[in-house]
Amino acid sequence: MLRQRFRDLVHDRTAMAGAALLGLMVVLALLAPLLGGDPYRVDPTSTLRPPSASHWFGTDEKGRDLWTMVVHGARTSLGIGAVTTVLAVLTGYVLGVLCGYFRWVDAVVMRVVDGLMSFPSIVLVISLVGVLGDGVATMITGLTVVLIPMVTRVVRGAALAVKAMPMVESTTSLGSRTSWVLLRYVAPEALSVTIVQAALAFSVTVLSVAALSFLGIGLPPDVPSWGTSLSAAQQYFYSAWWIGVFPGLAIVLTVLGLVLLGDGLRDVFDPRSARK
Amino acid sequence: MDLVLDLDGVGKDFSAGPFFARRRTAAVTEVSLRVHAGRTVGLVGESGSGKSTLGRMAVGLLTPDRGRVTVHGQPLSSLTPKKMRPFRRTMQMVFQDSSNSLNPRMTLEDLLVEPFRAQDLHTRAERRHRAAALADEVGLARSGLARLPHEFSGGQRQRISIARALALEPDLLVADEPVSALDVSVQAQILNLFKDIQQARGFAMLFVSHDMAVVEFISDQVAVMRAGSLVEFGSRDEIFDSPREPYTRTLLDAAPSL
Repeated sequence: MLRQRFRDLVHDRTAMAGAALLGLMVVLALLAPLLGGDPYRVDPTSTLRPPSASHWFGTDEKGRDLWTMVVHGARTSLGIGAVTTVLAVLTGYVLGVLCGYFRWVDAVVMRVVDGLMSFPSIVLVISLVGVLGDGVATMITGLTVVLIPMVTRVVRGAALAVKAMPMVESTTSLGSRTSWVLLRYVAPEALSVTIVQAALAFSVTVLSVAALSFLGIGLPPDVPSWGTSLSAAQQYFYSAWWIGVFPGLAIVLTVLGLVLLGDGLRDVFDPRSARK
Repeated sequence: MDLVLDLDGVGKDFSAGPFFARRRTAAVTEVSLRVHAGRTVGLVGESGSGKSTLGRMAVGLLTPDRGRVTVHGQPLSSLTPKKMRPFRRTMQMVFQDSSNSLNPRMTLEDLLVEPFRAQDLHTRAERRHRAAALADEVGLARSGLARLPHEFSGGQRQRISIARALALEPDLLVADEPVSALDVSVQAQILNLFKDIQQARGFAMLFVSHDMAVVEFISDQVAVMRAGSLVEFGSRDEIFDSPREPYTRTLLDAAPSL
């Protein structure tokens, strides 16, 4: 069944364009050490140089090669994005299935979820960073905490719907154990919406990482990231447009890729909520 | 004759509406009904009369708010969930819509093996052997054992449902509108299948339907429900030839004669 859906997805051109964009960014991130130079190399003699043969994307205010910064920034964004998404989606999937099936788990977990969701996510991450201190691990923790409620809620909804289906009544009347019902009936049915949520969660993380590092929160200043480059660009926008344009483009293309892919996934896996 | 199902003053309420204005409506007010081994009681009534709710209480899928359900001398209310699971073997249900009462991800073989797995019966090889035998009994080709539910027709899917219900050799079978989603020609085949298997196995059957023709064909006795209560009960011939209640007469008149 999943195989058929993935086959449908391959025929969706928009989704494939998104996948291609995302794939490009992943390749850049994985090959960053080969493609770019040393992101920590500062060269005070060649600051704010425009794009040229030796510096494809120009250099920034500290004389760092911007191409290097962009590809290493891809590492930061996609790395944090991938880890956060996997953690949040796994946790949210398990919690959502349990909430959908057990009323008492639902009563407890959903109140916590409501509480977390009532905070604007950026504010929540900022306060977590304030408590835990800067660092990649803190960023991942904070963003995961923000994303879990979103995933849990959606998966819970799907699980609730399955629980009310006659097939669950049918297996119950045979005397099936709860674990069997959860693993063979509820969990597989909730998988489609989870896949859709994963794409969404990924794009939210990439944007949040950019926003937070733009604000100078969370990531140490020496970690190359698109948001950090963007915030430097603010000061030099009139004299050195390239500092802002290239990292900005990287953010736009990554998120665009994820959104297009996410839309495609939703059309294929969750047709009821698809745009028509 | 063995008394298998004994419903004694059974009732069920459902609450509906917004939280602060929640109203309780009785789906079933108070119904008493008995079904004996080898016999079929047809339960008729219009939509919303509570006949499906009654059927679900009879097999322990719903807990009654009033009254007592006794299956083979065992009151269901006295069973803890732990004891209920093995006891479910005795009472099985065939569902109305086979398109959503079968797991779309399981093959025919998985679906027919599931009852044994649920009850921890038999070895793996024995389960597969029995699954194939069940397929034969309900007239499904063994070549379809690897297929998924959506690859079968409505009538074939209903055969799968019947096979699943029969796998555990229940003493009581509740069939909830098992043929109402099928073409008339297929209906006849499935009804005959019910009759044949009941004759061979001798279980008691509560057959829920809104279709008077179907009920006349399958039942030994007929119970007529309206708005949650039993309005008339009698042998098939009594009900169909000389109904005492005006409501039963209305139902009979409303049925198109073929």
